[in-house]
This record gives sequence, structure tokens and C-alpha cells, in this order.
Amino acid sequence: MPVLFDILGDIANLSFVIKIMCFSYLTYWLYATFYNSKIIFGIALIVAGYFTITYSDATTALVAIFGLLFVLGPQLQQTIWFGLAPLLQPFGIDLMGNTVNQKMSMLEQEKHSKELQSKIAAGEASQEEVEAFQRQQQLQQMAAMEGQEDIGDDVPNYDAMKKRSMMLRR
Amino acid sequence: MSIFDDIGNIFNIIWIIALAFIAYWLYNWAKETLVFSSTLAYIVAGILIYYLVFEYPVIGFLGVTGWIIITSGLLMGLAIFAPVFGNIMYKMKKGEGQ
Repeated sequence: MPVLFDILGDIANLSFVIKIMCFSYLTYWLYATFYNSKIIFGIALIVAGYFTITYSDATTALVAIFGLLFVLGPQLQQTIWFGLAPLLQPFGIDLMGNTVNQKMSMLEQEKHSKELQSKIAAGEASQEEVEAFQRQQQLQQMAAMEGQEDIGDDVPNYDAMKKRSMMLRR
Repeated sequence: MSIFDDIGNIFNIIWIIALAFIAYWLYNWAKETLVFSSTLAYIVAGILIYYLVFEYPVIGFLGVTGWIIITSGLLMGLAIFAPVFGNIMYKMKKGEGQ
């Protein structure tokens, strides 16, 4: 029965390809490093070839780690921060380590405030909860007012514009 | 049914074009990496193309396309779909609340 999948043979062929690519990268780096001295480049190339053939596992692993972290490091960082982190955020996974439960999300805040309102209306809320709810309302009002003041400072004649738009509405 | 034969032929043509692009990409990589010696570049390109296009074309295709996707920065565009998942999770949580 002929062998259908020569797995170890395939791994041997692919490891040869990886060794060739590793040696090519090493020659590229050595050429850039010893651009001015071809003799040192030649000697270093022979040493690199010896290391790639005899200590191939360690050499390819080191070249791969160096290539991934040093050469592609910024690219990987950008991809993780701007590609992966926003995707994981809706599922509650924060790459910085802050769990979502530590800070209430907008939805849970809305729920919490609605529950508080209904409790206060029913008269079941304790004094602390009432005070907390009043503080929350005050903060929201202050934030809304702050926003308006900022616009007034930045845009010239904002008050005049607002008066005109109010008059037009009437 | 000749339509299945036609689909097979079209896929075959597309696969050959893709492998030709993979071979060109590997030749270009060898040329850029081994700038100092064109002979060595041809030898390395020949080895890479033989093993990654003729012997193991699937591995070559996946490896080269994966490398292009990772290094081109296309994965940063995945963040475009983050609000989609956010909306789905928001609606799921709202559904649970109700």
C-alpha cells in the first residue's frame, strides 16, 4: 500500500525551506551591517551558514523572534491596539486589564438610575441612595451646562446667534 | 451537467493565476533580500518556488497571503466592525433586561 501522507518527509522539506529563508534573512542583515567591508561580510556569512546548518533549530527560532519582535514589532503593536482591542471591547475583554464590572457601562448606569427612580417614587430608597441619585443628577446638569459654556467661549457671538435662532423659531 | 465542469475549469484557472502570483512574490522577496548577488537570488527563488508552489502549493498560498494580510495592515480595518458586535451585545443585554 503506497503511503498517502509522508508527514515526516513533508516536515523535513518545509524545515529545509525555513532554513533557506532564515539564511537569506541573515545574509540580508549581514550585508547591511558589513556594507563597507566585504571580507568581514564573507566571514560572517560562512559563520551564519554553519550555525544555520548545524544549530538550525536555535538559529531559526532566534531569527524568527528577532524578525517578529524587532522588525515587525511596531506593526504588530498597531494591529493589536487598533485592530484587536476594539473588537474585544464589546465582549468585555479589556487588553489593559480593567474588567468591565469595575466601571459601570452606559447601559448598566441607565438601568441603575431607572431602578433608583422607581425606588424613590415608591419610597423604598434609603437616604444614601437618594443622596447618590441627587448627586448624579447634579453632575449631569453641570456637565450639560459646561458644554454650553464651552461653546459660548469658542464661537464668537454665540449668544447673539442663539437669540436670533430662538426668534426665528417663534 | 457542463456547468460543474465550467466551475471546475474557472477555479483551476484562478488557482493557476494565484500560484503564479505566489511565485512572482517569492522571486521578488528573494531579489530584495539577496540584493548583492543575483545568482544567489535566482537559486533561492528557485528553491522557494519549487517547494512552495509545486510541492506544497496550499502551504505556499496560505503562507504568502497570510503574510501579506498581516504586514499590509489590513487587520487594523477589523476595528470597523467593532460597533457591529457592540450593537449585537447591547441588544442581547437589553433583551435579557426586559
